[in-house]
Amino acid sequence: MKKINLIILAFSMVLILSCNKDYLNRFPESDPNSATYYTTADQLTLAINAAYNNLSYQQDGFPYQMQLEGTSDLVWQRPATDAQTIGLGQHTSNTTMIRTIWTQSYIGIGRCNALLENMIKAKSVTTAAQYSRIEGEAKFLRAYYYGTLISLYGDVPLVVKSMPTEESYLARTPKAEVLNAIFSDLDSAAAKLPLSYTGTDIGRATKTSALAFKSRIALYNAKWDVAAAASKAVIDLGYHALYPNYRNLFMYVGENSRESILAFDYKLTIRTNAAPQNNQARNSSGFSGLIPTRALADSYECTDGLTIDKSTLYSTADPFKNRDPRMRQTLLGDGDTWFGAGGITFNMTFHPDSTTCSRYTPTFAKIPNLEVTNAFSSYSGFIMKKYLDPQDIAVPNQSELAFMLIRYAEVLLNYAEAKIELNQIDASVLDAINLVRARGYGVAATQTTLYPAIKTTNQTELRAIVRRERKIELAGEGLRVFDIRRWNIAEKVMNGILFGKAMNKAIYYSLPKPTLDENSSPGYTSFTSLLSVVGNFKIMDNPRVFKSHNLLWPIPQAELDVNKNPGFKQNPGY
Amino acid sequence: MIIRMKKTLVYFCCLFFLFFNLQISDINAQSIKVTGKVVSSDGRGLELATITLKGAKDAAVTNAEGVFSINANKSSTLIFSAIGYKSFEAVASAAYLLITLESITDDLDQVVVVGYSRQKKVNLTGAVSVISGAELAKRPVFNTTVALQGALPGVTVTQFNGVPGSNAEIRIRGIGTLGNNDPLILVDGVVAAIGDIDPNNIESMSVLKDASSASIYGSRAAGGVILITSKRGKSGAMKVDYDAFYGVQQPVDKPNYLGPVGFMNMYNEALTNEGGAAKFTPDYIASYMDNNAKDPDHYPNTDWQKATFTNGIQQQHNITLNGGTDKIKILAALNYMNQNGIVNNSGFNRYSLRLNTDYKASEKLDFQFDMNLRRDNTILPAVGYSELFRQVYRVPPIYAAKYSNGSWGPGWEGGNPLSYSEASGINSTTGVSNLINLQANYKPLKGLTINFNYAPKFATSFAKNNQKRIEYFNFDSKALLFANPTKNTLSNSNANSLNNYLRLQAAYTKDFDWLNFNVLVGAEQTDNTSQNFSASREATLFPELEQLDNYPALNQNSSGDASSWALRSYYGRMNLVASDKYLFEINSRYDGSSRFSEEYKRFGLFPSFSAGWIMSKENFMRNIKWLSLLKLRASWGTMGNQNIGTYPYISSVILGSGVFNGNIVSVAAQNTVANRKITWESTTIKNVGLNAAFLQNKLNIDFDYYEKMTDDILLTLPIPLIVGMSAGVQNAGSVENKGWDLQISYNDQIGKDFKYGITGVFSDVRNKVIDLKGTGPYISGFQITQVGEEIGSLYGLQAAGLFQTQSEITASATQYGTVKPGDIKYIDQNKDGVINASDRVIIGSRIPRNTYSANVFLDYKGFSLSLFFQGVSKYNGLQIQDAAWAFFNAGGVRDIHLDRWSTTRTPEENLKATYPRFFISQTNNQQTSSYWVDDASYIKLKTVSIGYSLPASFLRKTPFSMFKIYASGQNVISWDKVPGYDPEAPLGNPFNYPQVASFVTGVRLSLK
Repeated sequence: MKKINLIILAFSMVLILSCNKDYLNRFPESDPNSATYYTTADQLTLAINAAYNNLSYQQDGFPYQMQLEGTSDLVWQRPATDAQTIGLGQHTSNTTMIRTIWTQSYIGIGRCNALLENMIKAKSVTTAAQYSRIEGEAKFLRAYYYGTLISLYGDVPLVVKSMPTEESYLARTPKAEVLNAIFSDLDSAAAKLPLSYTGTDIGRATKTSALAFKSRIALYNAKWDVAAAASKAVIDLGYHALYPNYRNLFMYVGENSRESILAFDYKLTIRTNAAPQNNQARNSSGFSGLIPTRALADSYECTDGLTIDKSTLYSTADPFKNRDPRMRQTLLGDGDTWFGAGGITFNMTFHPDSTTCSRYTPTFAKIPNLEVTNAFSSYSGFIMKKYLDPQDIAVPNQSELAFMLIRYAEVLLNYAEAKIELNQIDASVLDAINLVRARGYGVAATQTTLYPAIKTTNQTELRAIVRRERKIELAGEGLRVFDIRRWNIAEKVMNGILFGKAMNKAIYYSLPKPTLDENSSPGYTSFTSLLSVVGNFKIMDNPRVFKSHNLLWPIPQAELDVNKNPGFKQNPGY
Repeated sequence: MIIRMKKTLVYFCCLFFLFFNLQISDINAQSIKVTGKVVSSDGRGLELATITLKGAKDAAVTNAEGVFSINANKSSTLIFSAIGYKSFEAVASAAYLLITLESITDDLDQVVVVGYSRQKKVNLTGAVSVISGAELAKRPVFNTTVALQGALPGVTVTQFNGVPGSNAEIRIRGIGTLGNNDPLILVDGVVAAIGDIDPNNIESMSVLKDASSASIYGSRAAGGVILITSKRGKSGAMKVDYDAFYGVQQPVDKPNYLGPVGFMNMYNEALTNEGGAAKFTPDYIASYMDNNAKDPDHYPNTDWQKATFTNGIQQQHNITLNGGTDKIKILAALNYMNQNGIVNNSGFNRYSLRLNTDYKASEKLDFQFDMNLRRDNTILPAVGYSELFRQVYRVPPIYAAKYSNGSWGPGWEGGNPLSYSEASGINSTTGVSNLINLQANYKPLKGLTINFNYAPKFATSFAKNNQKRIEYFNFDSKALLFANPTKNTLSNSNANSLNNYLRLQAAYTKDFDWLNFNVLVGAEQTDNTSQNFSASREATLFPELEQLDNYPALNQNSSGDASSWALRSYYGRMNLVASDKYLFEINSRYDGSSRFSEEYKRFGLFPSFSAGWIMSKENFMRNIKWLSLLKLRASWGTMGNQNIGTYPYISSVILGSGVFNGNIVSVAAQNTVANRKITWESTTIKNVGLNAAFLQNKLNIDFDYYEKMTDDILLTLPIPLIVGMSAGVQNAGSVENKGWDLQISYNDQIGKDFKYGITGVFSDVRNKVIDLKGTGPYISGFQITQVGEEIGSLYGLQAAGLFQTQSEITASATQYGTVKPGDIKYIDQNKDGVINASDRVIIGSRIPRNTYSANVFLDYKGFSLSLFFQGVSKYNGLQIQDAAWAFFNAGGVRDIHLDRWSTTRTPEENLKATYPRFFISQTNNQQTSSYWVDDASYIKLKTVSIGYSLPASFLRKTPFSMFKIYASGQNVISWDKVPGYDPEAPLGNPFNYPQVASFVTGVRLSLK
């Protein structure tokens, strides 16, 4: 009996081992196969959605565009992040942030390329409108990623189709050639994309996203006529308008306004950002991360339209007094009432002697003033307020506040700057600038008595005005770093000691005024003599260094280590 | 008692007769039937002991009670051998022989477990190292991997940290591939994890190192094979053994941090160095300690290590029941262990039950039913060890850990390791697994054994990460400062898997006059399916209730996935032993794996050939008295590696999520370049070896030289980032490992009572990348892999000391940022006047070239002492960031940093300074360079153990047949040159869980 059983067993084993041919065929159980991808309309949507995700990648808990501002003269990154390293001029080809922006941009480009190449497979089953829109989105995104790349790295390999690995050891394509490809993609995108969306599609690229980005990238490359035409096209479409309240524009209440031309949104469990925690004041449980520099604060005009070195309205002791209202809407400074964790409101005080400050709610009390006593509190005496919504204070590291990549105010300023450079100065130029300025004051552009409207038509004066206006209006949004490069002022504004707040009571209220140059960049030679007294100033750790080769970032070392193409060389100086 | 005395009497009588028979052995030459019993020193019958007739091929095996019978010429010599026992020679006689075999650790005649069968060690042609369970038991550890460290030549075990329940890394003969180098581990013939068997239940372990021994495991053997055999029941009265130990563990190699005064002074120096102003005034510093005594809340002096570390109590209890009849034998072992970590809320505990049953249905048919049931639980603070220990080793002493009013001090920005360990919640993982192993052996004909094996393994695990919000208040105002973590979060995840293993095998053995012939063929298949599910919720207001239902449904999240793989294989072996001295063996395996595409090379063939020559049995050597054995071996063969992920040849589209207008949308993209043509890595090993024994086997030498070449290595070669996808695996490149393994042991005794032994193990391996298919070098962080060099060599700038003067800086190449005297000087390798990435060179090795160990034991009467030393040389470590730099990211400063370059020190002192001028954030000194590379060679006294067994005369009046007490220390002393961290620690910023030393006392007893 046992023998028979065993023989049966043996035979069944042999059968099992030899017959079941599919035994070794195993496939991924949760991921679709690439061979059947791009064949339905829904799949095209999944694919284009993936290409958007590289816009919103986070660097050290910030949208990377916001973190880029930390490498400009307007903001200093206090924690030892890559943005601080770059700001100090100590970055190398191994700096992670430099590699990540490169990598993320090319991943986005690769996703667009694969979609554009394969979407034909789904053409017969997709509505013409949807097909055209997705194609337009892919072209826009590809142009956006290339725009970022050429602005940071100069010449970069132009890849417009998917390629086998062995063909990917490419030389760098001249920037001008990449720029043409960007313009052509944007033209095509502008023709295919709708003006607006509804419901869950809000946030996708629109016709104006393509035009507005074209005006930006043309401006960056001194193609004044292209920039002027593209920005004028956005203005003429009449869809966009400035949001009436500058402060609210960067809060939840201002999300998806007509001013927003392209933004990416957050959602808990998928992606959130930690900007509120990183940037908040100490008493609000924040880390004082992106610290506004004195140079930003001193760039705001006084309400008479004059810079602080010229205006009689300026008070050294109370720098927020009589200033462009955008100053207080962008910066949290001395005397402000602010929110803290656990439902407290308190008085922001940066004076070095104020080791306590007033708490107003829940009950009035004096509480320790961490803005002064904490080693890592705001160095400058200012805290970034833009994109800080008190709603986020309860859980400051999981903000869902959408981040705007392009907004209408920038388009107006693009238009004005392009026309000024073309020396085609007319009323439309002044209107564009005044619209932006008036909104800062919360008034209509026509109410010229309620804000310092621009009236001059002198090209040189207007150039200075529009540059200051960009600096003020767009501070903290990630564009300054490109502006100081293209205006060739980076070496001037980025070098030297970053002065923090005066730590010595004797000079705190009586600091000399800085002198502002033709680009409204404050110079602090008058402070240098005060340095001889140790402890007069809080000084950001190291002097910043910016050399001419820093106008471009290095090519990431990881890429150079792999790509040995003789046409793929490091940027000079690295 | 009377029975025992009788037994002893019989024993002595037998010995007497043996002795007597020896004297007259040459006179009679008639064939007789010799019967008897083979027992171990505790009197238990030994099953499967082999009895061979010296000079002939005849052999017999003992039955379950140890009883044997064999036909032999009268007065011929019989050799008795069994796994783990010293062989014994006796003269054949008509009298009933009672043979007691002494258990030993290593012997030439022992039978060892090899792939799919057993062989006499003397007849092995491959490089196989064996360790017995008795030897492993000398080191009271929880973990088999730790017990293996240094125990066998060619086996390198590295223990990166002391995390409770974690396994050490095992590497057999170097690193053959850039991918998975883990050896294949089988328990009783079934692939298993090393944690699947309790070290107490191990009968023996064989490590198969060369191709001839391992290639029968084909595509999974390239990293070597470890065969673990569990203890089995023996017939006889039920025997009960109990073994327990209890002890503490403490972190070793702790860095020493300066207190508040030292910290503040040095921090001021660092600030001044960087052009800043001093932060702490001299008055503040001078009165700090006085103020600390009066008001520690405002003037803290926190020793973070002291505040956070606790004694990790550990204990283990093991009960084994063992007994049975001729037909049924059972071994049941119940084990419990509990190991607390060195911070609160960390630890590991395990319950395991092994039940090994043998059922002999008839002379031709027997069965084994084995089961190993195991439940373990690992807990750690929810923030995780790396964050916790990072803060222990960096927060300056001037921040409070806990205020006098009981609230948490802020630590550094809410990074307080004490609150992390005590209040951040617990991350707990519970695993339950059951490995069932059913075997049937059928012997229809003499010499033929058919084996059927079915072994399913079920495993489930449940992980619960319960992260709790910790609030930090200002001491004076009671205002909330930080919450870190900010939210209460609970996530549960569940995974389960089923591994099915099926085997059918036939073995045939035939003895001719001059030839012993063995052949084995088999087929097996194994498949694995696993699935997982996880869910999380956030922000409960009742954090003390730790279930998902207690959390609001808002922000809930879930995910799940499954995967499977399969492997089908056919294998065979032919083994010839001619004239007892010429050995020859062929192995081959044909493997098919689901991990490769059907259209390309799904199946691979892995053959091996080996031969051996026992020279000492030749006539010209036979009479050399001092030479017991001399054997030469040579082998060649190939093996494969398929351990490269589950679906590497399939290009799949990975699903993810995105957001539009506050709505979650799906996204999908191909993220990795797929390669349909990928196939096996193949490893070819050439091995020549020598076994020699001298002085009646007192001195043993085993030596092997090998060349191991791995081709078609599955590499993720970096591809240009502009491709926009992660690189897929490719068959690219070759890596060579050449080296030798040597084991020398000497065991002897002086007089009757004093026994001693020493075993030395030495290994040498040189690793070299031969080919990377024209690509590379490729660099990952501070490691490089390039042709002509070792895998993963340390890579960075070469430091040339510190700049002493400004003129020296001016005369040197341009470095990074602002460079001043006291900063690190680098060598401009390409002489282009600029120090940058192109000046990087190889600055160290990460593969220990030499590993060695020495095991010494001394036994005197009931006392025993054993010492175990282990070391490596030609090995480097690299420590940066928190692990090496003062003030890094607002960290503290250590005593070793005081020997820095400083304007406050003399030029002579500065010339010898071991640390650059203090910096806080300075690109120049923070480059990866040889300045931060250490010689990580070490010698450690890994184990010292002292034991005392109560004498038999004393035990006579007790219920015990054996009673031993012992005390043992692990990781007792380390002689090394690295400051403040363990040389076995991983690279970079290794402030993970520290290495620990443990001290235990234990008892081992047997009931009568």
